[in-house]
Amino acid sequence: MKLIRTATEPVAQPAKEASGSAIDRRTFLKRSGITIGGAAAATALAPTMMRKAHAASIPSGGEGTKTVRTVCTHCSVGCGINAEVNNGVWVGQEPAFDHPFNLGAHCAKGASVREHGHGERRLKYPTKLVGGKWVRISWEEAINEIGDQMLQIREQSSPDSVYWLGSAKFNNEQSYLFRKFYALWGSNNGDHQARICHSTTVAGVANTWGYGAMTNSYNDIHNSKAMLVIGGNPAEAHPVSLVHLMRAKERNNAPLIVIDPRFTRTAAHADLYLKIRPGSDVAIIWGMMWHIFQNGWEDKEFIHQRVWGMDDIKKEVANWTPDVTYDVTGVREELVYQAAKMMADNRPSTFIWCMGGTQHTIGNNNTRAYCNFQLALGNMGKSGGGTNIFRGHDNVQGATDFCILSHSLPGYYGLSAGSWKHWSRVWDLDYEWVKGRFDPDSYEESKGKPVPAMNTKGIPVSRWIDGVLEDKANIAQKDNIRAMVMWGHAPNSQSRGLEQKKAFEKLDLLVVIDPYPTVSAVMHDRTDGVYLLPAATQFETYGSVTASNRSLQWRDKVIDPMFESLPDHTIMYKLASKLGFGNELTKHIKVENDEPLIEDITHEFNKGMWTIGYTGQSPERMKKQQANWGTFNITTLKAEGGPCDGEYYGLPWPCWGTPEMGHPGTPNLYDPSKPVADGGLCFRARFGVERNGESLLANGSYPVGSEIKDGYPQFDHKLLKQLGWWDDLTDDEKSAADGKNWKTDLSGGIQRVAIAHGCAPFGNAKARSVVWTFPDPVPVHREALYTNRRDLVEKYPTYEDRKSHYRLPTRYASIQKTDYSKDYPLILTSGRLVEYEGGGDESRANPWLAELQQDMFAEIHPADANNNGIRDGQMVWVEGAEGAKVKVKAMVTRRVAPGVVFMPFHFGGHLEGVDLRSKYPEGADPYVLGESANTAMTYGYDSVTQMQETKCSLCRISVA
Amino acid sequence: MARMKFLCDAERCIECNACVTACKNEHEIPWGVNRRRVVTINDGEPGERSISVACMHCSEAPCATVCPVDCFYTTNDGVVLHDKDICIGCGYCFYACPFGAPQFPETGAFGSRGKMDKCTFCAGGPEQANSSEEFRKYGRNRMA
Repeated sequence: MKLIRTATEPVAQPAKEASGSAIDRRTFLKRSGITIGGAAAATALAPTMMRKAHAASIPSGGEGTKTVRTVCTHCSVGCGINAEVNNGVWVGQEPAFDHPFNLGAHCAKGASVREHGHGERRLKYPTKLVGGKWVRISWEEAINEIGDQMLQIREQSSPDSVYWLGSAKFNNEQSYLFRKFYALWGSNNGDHQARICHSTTVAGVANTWGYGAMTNSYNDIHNSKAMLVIGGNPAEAHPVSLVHLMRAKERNNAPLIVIDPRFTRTAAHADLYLKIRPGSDVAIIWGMMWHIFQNGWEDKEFIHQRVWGMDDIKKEVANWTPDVTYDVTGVREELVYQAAKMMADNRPSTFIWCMGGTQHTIGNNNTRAYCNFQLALGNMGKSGGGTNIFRGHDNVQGATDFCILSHSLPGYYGLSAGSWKHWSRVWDLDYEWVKGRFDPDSYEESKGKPVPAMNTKGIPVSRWIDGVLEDKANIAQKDNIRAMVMWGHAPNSQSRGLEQKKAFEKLDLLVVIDPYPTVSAVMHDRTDGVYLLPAATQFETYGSVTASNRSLQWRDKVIDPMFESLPDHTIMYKLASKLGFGNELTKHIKVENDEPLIEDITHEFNKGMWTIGYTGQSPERMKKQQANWGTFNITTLKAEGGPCDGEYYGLPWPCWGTPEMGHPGTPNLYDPSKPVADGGLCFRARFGVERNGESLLANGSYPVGSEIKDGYPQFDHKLLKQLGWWDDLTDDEKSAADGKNWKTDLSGGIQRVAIAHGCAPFGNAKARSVVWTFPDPVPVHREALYTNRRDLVEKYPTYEDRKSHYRLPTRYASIQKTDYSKDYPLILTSGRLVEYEGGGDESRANPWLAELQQDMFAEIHPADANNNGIRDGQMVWVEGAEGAKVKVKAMVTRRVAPGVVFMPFHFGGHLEGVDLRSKYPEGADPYVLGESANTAMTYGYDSVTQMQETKCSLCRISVA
Repeated sequence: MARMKFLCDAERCIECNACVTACKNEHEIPWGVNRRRVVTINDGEPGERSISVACMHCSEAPCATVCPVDCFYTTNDGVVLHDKDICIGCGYCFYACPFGAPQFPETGAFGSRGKMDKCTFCAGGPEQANSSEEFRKYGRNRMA
C-alpha cells in the first residue's frame, strides 16, 4: 500500500464534530486541532526510558527534511530504506516502495533501524578497563596504548600472535581495507562471521561448480514452480524473502516443502513438512534422490552435458533405501517420496538452505548433497531453479568475497605466492616487502617441503580460543594468540562459552571495536587490558554492500557518527598508522582527517577482483543505480528503460571487465540461455580439463552466442593466441595481458575479448559431483560428534582426529567414542528469532525490538517437560554435554519433536545463571540480557572449513 | 463515505513483527504500550496462523460508549480518536474493548495508569495537525 503525504494547512478549529455533519473528510482532518488548555500531559517515562528532552519540534516530513537512500543492515536481503533526516537528526524512515528487493516491506528489525540514530545504549567513547572499572579515555590514548602493546607482541611472538577478527557488517570498502590491513600487518590470522555461518556452503558449492554463492536471487523465486527449504527458517531469518516465496506460491501454485527438526514459522506456510532428526541432512537428501533415480526423474541430458561424476553419487544413493532413510532421519517413506516428487514434477524448482545444513562436522557434505540434488534434477542454471543460499548478515557476502578469512586473499585468490604477487601488484607494493611483514618461518609442510607462515591458512574464528589455550607446541605458528581484536563480531555466536571465557582471561590484550560493548566486555573476569572502541554503524558512513544475490548496493550516509564513534575505515587507518603501515595501506587512497576516501577504495578493488567480477561495479555505476532503483523489473531485476537501461539491479557479480566495458551483471549464475555479455554463464572450469581419463569440460552446452560451441578451459593469453583472438586486444591491453590469465590481467582485456566472442572468461566445464580433494569425495552421512544414536555410530562414524587442521589439532573420533547419551539424552539445537540478529547486543539494545523478546528460553516438547517435572514458563537448567549449563525459561511447545531441545542464540549477558549487567560500562547495557545458547554448545568442527557444529549436540534439562 | 479499516491477510502473516515495530518507531511509543500486536494461534503446530491486530476503529466503539468523561470522537472516516487532556485514566475503555486496544503507560501518580494510549490509525489527535504537540501526545499524523 502506498502511503501518500498530502499538504497540510493547520487551522485552529474545535476538535469535535457531531457525526453526520456535512463536511467532508479532507476538510475535517485539515481543521482538526486546538490546543486545549495549557496542561501538557505528563510524559514522564519509566526510568529505563528516560531520555534528554527533545528540542522544540520534530517536523514530520516538514520543511528541511531530506530523504537519504540506504540499505538495512540486518540481513542479506538488502531492503531499501528511505531515511528522513532533518537538521542532522534522523526523524523518520519509510521502507522504499519502489526498491526491487523489498517492494516496501520490512521485518521488525528493518522497521526499527532509526533507533540507531537515538543510540541510547551505544558505546559512546573509547573505554578502558582499569582495575575492574571502566574508564573513559581519548582515541589518541587508546590507539597509542593498543598499538604499543601490539608492536611489543609482534616483536616477542611474531605477527601471528595478534588475531584480527573482522566483521560481516563492514561495507565492501571496509571489508577490502580490513583484509589488506591484516595482510600488511603480516598474518593470516583474520576471519569473520562467514566461518561460522556459510563457510561450508562456500567451500562445498564452489568446489562443485566454481563459485560458492547464491546462484539465482530472492526475486527470481517468482519463477519457481516448487521450493524446498532445508535447515532454514526464512520467515524469521529473512522475513522479506517470504514476499518472493509467496509470489511463487500464489502465482505459480508452487508448493513449498520445508525440512527442519522444528515446525518453524516457515513450515507453518509449507505445503509439505518433513521433520528430520538434527544432523541427518545427507541422509534425507540421498533418501529423496533414491526415489529420483528409482523413478528415472533425473535430467539425463543435463547430466550428460554439464555434470561429471553423477554415477558415483548414484552408487552411494543406492544405499539409502526408504527403510534406511527412515532409520537415520526419522522421516517416513511416503513423505520422502512426496518431497522428491514435488520437486521433480514442478521444475524449475529451487533449493534453499541456511545454518541448519551448514553448521555440522559434515557441513561440506551437506552442502554438496544439496548441490547434487539440483544437478540431478537439472535445476541449475535456470531461472526459477538454482541453489538459493540465503546469507546472513547484511554484508557477509561482501566480507566473504573480500576474504576476511584466514585462508585466502580478496576474490578467493588463495594464499599462494602467485596470489600474493597479484595483490601486491594491485596494491602497488613490493611483493618482497609484503613478504617481509610475515613470520618467515615454516610450521607446516606440503609434499615434503616446508611452507612459510605467509602461505598457510590461519586460525579460524571458530577456533581462536584454542589458538590461545592450546599448548603452543601443537600450534602451527610461532606462539599462542596473545592479543584478540573483536571488530564488529560478537563472542556468543561461537560455541564452548566457558572455554572462551578462559581464553579471554588468558589474553594479554583484548580490543573490542563495535557500536556496542558486546558480550566480550562482560563474559570474562578480567580486570585490565580491555579496550572498547566505539565504531559507527553503517548509517553513519557510506559505501557499497553486497546482498545475498550478489547485487551490490550503494548506501548514502544518513547521519554523522554518534557520540565519539568513528567509521571502521577511519579506525583502520589510525591503527595502521600507529602500527607503521598507514602509508602502504592507503598508497592510492586519499585520506582526509584520517578517513580514507571510500570511492578510492572501490576503484582500487575494481582493479583487482577479477576472479569474481567485482571489477565492473564502479562507485559511479552503483550510485546511478541507487538513484534509479525504481526502474528495475522486480522479477528479472533488469532495468527497463531509464538511465540504467539493460543493467541488472546491483550489477550482480560477476560483473565482468572494467566499468567502461559496461557489463550488466549476472542475475542468475550458470544460465546459458543468455549471452555472457547479457549475464549468461556456464559452470566454471576450475578443476582441470580432465580426471581419470574423462573430460571435465562441458559437453555441447554453452551460453547463447558462444563462438565455441562446446566446453573450453579458462582463458589465458595462450588460449587467446591459439584461438586467433589475441589481436582483438588493444596495445595497452596486450602489454598487460601477455603472460597472464583472466584473473591476473589487470587491463581486463582477456575478459573483454572472451566475452566479445560469447565466451565465459573462466571456461566452460561440467560441475563435479565428486570433489576428489575433500575428506569425503562423495558426500556421505556421518553421525555428529555428540549423538544419542549410538547404534549408528558404528556404521556412520565421524573422522579420525587430525593433528593439524588450520594450524590446530582437531578432534573427531576421540570425542565420538564416548557415549554421552546416558547423561545427556536430549538433542540440543539452536537457531534464530526474527526480532534479534547475531550475538544480539545491538538488537537487544533497541527498545522497540527488545520489548518483543524479553526472556531467553528453550523450546521443550511436552513429553520431555513432563519427564523432567518441568512446566511452561519455569526456569530450567539446560546442561550441555561438556558440562556447561545455562539457566533459561522453559517454553513447552510441540514445535520441537520429543527428544529435541531448541534455544535461540541471540542472548548474552548472563553466564551460568549469573546476571552480568553490572559489568557493562554504564549506560551501555542492552535492555534485555539472557544466557548465551552457545555457552552450552560443544566441540565439533567441519572437516574442510572448521565450521562449528552448533546444530546437533546433546543436553539434559532440569528444574532450576 | 469511506470507513478506514485495517486488513491483514492471515494466510500470509509470518509474525515478523514489522508492523509492531514500525508503529513504535513512527510514533515513538514507550516501552509497555503496544498499539499493534501480532496474535498467533496454534503456535508451533500445523494450522499456526497469525494476524496483526490494533484498534478496530469500531463503528459503535465500546470504548467511546463507556467513557465517563466522553473523551472519544470519531472522524468522518470512522477513525476512533480520543483526547488525552480529557482522559482521566480510569481504565473503563480498557475493560470494554474486546481487542485490548486501549493501553496505559503507567505514568500516572504513584504508578497509576496515566493517559490512555491506542492506535490512532495514524490520524493523530485533537491537537493541531502535524504540530509537535500532537506528535508528543499521539504520534505522527500521516492522514492530514
